[in-house]
Amino acid sequence: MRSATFNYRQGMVINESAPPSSTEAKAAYVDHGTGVIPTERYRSKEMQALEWERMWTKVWTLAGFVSDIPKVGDYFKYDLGRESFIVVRSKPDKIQAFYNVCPHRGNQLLTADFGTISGSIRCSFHGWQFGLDGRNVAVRDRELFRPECLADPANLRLTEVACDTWNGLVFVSMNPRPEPLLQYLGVVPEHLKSFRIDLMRPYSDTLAWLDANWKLNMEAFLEFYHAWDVHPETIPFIDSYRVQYDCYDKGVSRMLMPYGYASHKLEDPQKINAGLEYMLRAFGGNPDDYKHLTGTTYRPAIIEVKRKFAQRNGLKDWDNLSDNQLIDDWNYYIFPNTTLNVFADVCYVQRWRPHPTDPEKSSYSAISLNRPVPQDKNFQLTDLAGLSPDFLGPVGWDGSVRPQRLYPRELKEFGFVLEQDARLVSQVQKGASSRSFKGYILSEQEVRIRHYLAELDRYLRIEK
Amino acid sequence: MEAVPPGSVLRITVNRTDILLCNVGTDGVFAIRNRCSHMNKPLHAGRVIGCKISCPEHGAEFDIRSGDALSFPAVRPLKTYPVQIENGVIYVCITPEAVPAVRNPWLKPWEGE
Repeated sequence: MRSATFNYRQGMVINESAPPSSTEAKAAYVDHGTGVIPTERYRSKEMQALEWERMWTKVWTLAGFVSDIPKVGDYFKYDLGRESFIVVRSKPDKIQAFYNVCPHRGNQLLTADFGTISGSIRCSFHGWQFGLDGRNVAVRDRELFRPECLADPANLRLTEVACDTWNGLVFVSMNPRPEPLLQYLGVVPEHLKSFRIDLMRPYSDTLAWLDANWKLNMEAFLEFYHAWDVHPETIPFIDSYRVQYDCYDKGVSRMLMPYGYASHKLEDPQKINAGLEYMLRAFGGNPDDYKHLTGTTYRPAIIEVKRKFAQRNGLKDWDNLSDNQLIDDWNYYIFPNTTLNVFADVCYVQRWRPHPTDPEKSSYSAISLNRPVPQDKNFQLTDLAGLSPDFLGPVGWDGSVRPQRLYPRELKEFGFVLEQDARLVSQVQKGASSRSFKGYILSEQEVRIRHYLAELDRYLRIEK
Repeated sequence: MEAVPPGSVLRITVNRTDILLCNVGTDGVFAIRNRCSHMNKPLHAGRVIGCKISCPEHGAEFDIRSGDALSFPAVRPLKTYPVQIENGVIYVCITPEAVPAVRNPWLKPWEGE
């Protein structure tokens, strides 16, 4: 029975018996106080410029996936604010990233989201050519240039940016001397080491421009306090009240969302509802085997079914996942703009990026990375974007065909769950700009908002 | 059809014309001339993502289904050819202006390279 009190220093804990050193352990409470958060920063041009100069140009951001550039010459384009980057596999074991700019007259070299270069990168303006390592290999009719103009090869090559990978994810940084990526990621590599994100492949890829500042847009996704009102369909099988929120160093934070519980907010939480049975069937379980359980004790059944699923399909790495990792959503936030919703079989990657010029617009990118299990002739993958009405994708998907990135213009093209959030954020951007609005009043379930803003303020060198 | 799995292309020569058969998945199989409309370079080494192919020379993108140029430096569309699939066999119709006229424009099935 839920009590009406809440010990905020203790918070919600999913696994109370987890040893203090385990990745499930509740993190120590980080006290960011109770102050109201004013909203000038979500529309101010000065703040946008400050964020660019002191933060975006200094941090690591998630650019794409190793699996999208399998062969030498493969590249993907990554855009951030006003800048565009080419991330290319320059050698069998090397990935490099460059500003997507020709040093001659500033043409954008490549415009496709994904492509393959044969030989060299050729500028479509005057035919200058660059090796995959960025070196200039040809200036058309170079005798036409006075020698001084072409004297220094450093001026004729592509400008490189730092590029590194972790668990199949590719990060880039405009910082000329960034700290090592693994250090920047804080606890994330350690906590997620048992999840083989590198074995997952993109199933869906959507990018939408929304009328909200990137931060305000993102904040809707850092908490699940809104589940009851924005995503009521999830209430039957996710207990949003019992989400565990933890804050860590480097601005990293997480929410562990327990799946497979009937929420106590339901009229009859003891009843095994259709949502729970549905989760069971998704991994080949038979609800008839578990009719003796109740809605609030159903979780072990789903865990058992998932373990059997892993065994019969040879997913040996799932043995490294704890029971809670096997069933729950481990939602991790990487500063400044990325969340990874990590499940055993899916990693749903979300990123929010500033518009090149307008602080009240931002892009929202949602990519579902799924573990291919084509050997299971009955398995339908989990489609978290809700592109299909029952959250299930096709049978036999093997991840070998990379889907193209979709750019929905109409809200109905977003997919059900995304549409809910998309409609919401543009409303909030408007309301939060009201002269009457003094600022956010935050619950302890919204602590991740305070936490990333504190890290952002450190970059911006804003003193409290 | 087994020769062109979804997401892949198959380069074939039909009546001295260099053609690319492209399987874009649920939208089906399409045939385009294996030459970029920008500088006439071959496209077969380019990347197919969804229903788009990008030229490996300058990165111009095309919609395989219609031949439309989607990005600079391509401006003109690709030459496309009608495709029919019957019993798992792909038939391509090569239009007469490129090659000598034949009485039956629907050619024999391609036996594979």
